[in-house]
Amino acid sequence: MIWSEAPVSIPLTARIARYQAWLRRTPVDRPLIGLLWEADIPGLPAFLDAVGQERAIAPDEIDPAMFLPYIERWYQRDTEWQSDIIQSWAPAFSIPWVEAIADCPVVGYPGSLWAMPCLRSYAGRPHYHFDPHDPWLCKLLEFTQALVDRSAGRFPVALPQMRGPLDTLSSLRGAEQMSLDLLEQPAEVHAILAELADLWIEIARACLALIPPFHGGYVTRLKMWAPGPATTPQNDISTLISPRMYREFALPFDRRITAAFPYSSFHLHGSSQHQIPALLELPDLTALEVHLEHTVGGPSLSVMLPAARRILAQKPLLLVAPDLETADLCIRELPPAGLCVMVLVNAPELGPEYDAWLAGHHTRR
Amino acid sequence: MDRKERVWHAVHHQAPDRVPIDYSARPEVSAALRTHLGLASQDDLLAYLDADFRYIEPREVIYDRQRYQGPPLRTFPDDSWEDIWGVRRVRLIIASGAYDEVCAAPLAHATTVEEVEAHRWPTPDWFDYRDVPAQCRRYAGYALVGGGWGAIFGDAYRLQGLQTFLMNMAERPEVAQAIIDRVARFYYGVNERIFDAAALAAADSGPGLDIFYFGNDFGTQRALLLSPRMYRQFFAAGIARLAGQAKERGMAVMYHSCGAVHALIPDLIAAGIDILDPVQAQAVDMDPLALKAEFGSRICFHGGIDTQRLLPFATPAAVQARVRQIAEAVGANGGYILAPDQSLQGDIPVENILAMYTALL
Repeated sequence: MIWSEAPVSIPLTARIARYQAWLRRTPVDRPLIGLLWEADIPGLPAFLDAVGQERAIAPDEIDPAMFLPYIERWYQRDTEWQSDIIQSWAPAFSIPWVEAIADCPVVGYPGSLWAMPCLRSYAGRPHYHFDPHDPWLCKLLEFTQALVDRSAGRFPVALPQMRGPLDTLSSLRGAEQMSLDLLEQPAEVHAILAELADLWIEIARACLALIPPFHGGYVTRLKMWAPGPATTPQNDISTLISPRMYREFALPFDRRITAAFPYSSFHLHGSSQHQIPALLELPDLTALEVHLEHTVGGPSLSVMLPAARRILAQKPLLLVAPDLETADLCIRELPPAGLCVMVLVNAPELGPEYDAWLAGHHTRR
Repeated sequence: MDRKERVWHAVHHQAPDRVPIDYSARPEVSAALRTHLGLASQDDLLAYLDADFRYIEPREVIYDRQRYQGPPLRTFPDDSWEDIWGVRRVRLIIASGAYDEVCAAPLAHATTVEEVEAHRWPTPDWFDYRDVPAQCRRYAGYALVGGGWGAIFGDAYRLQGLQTFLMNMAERPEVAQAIIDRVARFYYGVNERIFDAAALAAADSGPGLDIFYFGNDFGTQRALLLSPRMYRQFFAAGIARLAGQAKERGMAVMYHSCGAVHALIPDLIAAGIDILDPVQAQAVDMDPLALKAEFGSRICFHGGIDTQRLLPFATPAAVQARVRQIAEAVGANGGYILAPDQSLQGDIPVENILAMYTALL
C-alpha cells in the first residue's frame, strides 16, 4: 500500500495543495486541521528496565528495529483519519540526539532519557566539531536509514528532535549554570554556541542526505510540508531568558541555522512566547510552530491568541492545541490564511470523538 | 551535659556528649509516626525521638493565620487567596499532602522602583507575638530556635514570579533590589518583635532563644540559581544584617538553603552564619563528608541524611549504617546536628525514620 492508495478521505495531492496555500498564507476556506503525534520509544519503561536506569546508555543499545512495528501501528491508524496533516516519522523523540553527539551522557530515568551535564568549565573544554564517525551520529543515521527503508515511499521521514545550540549548552552545563554563564561568561558562551550551531547544521545535513523527497517535498517532525529540505530548529530553554538576552545569545545562531536550509519551522512552547518578536526577525524562517500549554501552567489563551494573530500577520503558523476544545476555539478565533491547527495526541488508540472532530471539520469544507 | 549545652558544643566545634538531634517533617508524616507509635501529641513524638530542639512560633508568618491581625486578606471565587505580600495562592493537593502554591504575582509587571514602593507592603505589626514568652518557658531546657523565616530571595521572587525576578536581577537590578530591601526590612522588624518577646522570658529567669533560623533556597539539585557575584550584589547585605541582629543578642545563626550551594558556603560564613541547613546530600557537591573536610572547622552542618534516595528506598539497616557514618565523620569534634536533609516526606517508610533516629542509641 502506498500513501496515495490508503483509505483516507483527503487525497495526498489535495493535502499538498493546502500546504502550498498555507505556506503562501493565501486566503482559504479553513485552516489546515489534523492531529499531531511523534513516534517515540515504544514501551519506554520496559526499554529502560532492560538497559538499566540511572546509568549512561550506549548508542549500540538502541536498535531501530524495535521501533518499526510501533510506527506501522501509527501509520495504519493515520490512514483512517480525515486529516490535512501529512504525518512524518522521525528517529525516536526521547533520545537527545544532538546533546549525545555533543558528548552529554544519555541516562535513563523513569519516564524519559536525559542528557546529563558534563562540562564543568569552559577552560580546556573540548571543541564541538562534526565527526562522521561519532557513535551517536552513526546510530542516528542508522535509525534514519531504517525509517527510510521501512517507509519505501509510503510516508515521509523527518529529522529527529534536534534541540538548538542554547538547549544543548544548557544540557552540557545544566540550565542554571548556563543562565549564569550568559551573564558572567558571555564570550565563552558565544564561542561554544557558534560551534554547536555548526554542529547542528552538519547533523541535519547528514540526515537529510539520507532522506528522499516525499511527493516533491519534505515534512518536518512537527508536520510542516515544504517543497524542499526542511528543519525544525528550537531553543526550549529560551523560556528562562529575556528577549534582550535571546537576541544577544540565541538569535545569531538561529539565523545561521535557518539560513543553511531552504525551509525551517521554528518550534517553541507557550512559555517562550516572549521570544516570538525576535524569532519573527529571522529573514530565512518559513514558519513558527507553537504549542499551547495553558492547561499545564503555560500562558493563558488571552495571551497566546493575540500572539498567534501577530505571527499570522507575518508568517505561517502551526498551532498545537492540547485538546479538541482549544483547537475549535483557535479555528473559530484566528484567521485561516497561513494557519494550521493540530491537536496533540499521544497514542493511536483514540476515542471516536477524534474521528468525529476530524470528519466534522473536513465535511464542512 | 544538658540539651542546650550539647547543641552549644556542637555549634562551636567542641565535642558534645552525643550528636544533637533535630526533627523536621511534613505534618502528615508526623501524624503517621504518632499513630504508629501510639503517641498523642507532637511534644510526645519529639520526646520519643530524643530531639534536642524546639521551634518557637511564629516562624513562617506568611502562613500563620492564627497570629495574623492585619487588614483583611482577599479571597477569590476560585478558592485562591492573597497572602500578606499580596501574592495570590491556591492549595494544591498531592498524594502525600498539600501545598499552597503561587498562582498570581502582584509585582509581575513592575518595571520601576516607584511601582515597587507603591505596593501595599506588610508591617511587623500585623502579627501577634504575645505567646512567644510562654512558648520559651514551656520548652525550657531545649535548644530554642526562632525568628521570622527571612526568605528574602523566595518572597522577592514570589512577588514577581521567578522568571521575571531573575530577569530583573540581570536587566532591572534597581527593581529587584528595591523588592529585596522591602522584604528584608520587614523581616528585620518581625525579628525585633520576636526577639524582644523571647527576651521577656529570659528577663523573667526563663530561657531566651538560642538559635535564629532563616533561609532561602539558592540552589537546585545541580547548581546555584544565581552566581556568587549576584548573591553578593543583591543578598549578602540583607542576610548579614539579619544574622547580625541575632548575634547582637547572643544567638547562633542557622541558615537554610536547599540544593547545590557549595559555592556559597564561604560567603555564608562571611555573613555570620554558624550552622548550614539542610545539606541536601544528593545535590551536586553537597556530600556531607566532603563538606566537613572542606569547611568543617568554620561552620556546623545540620541535616545531611538523604531524603531523596536513602530514607525512601534503603533498608532500615542501611539507613542506620549511613547515619552512623555521617555522625562519626561529620560530628567529629562537634560541628554536626543530626537531621534529615529536607523535611521528612510522605514517601519515607516509618521504619526508616525510626531507624534514623535510633541509629545512635
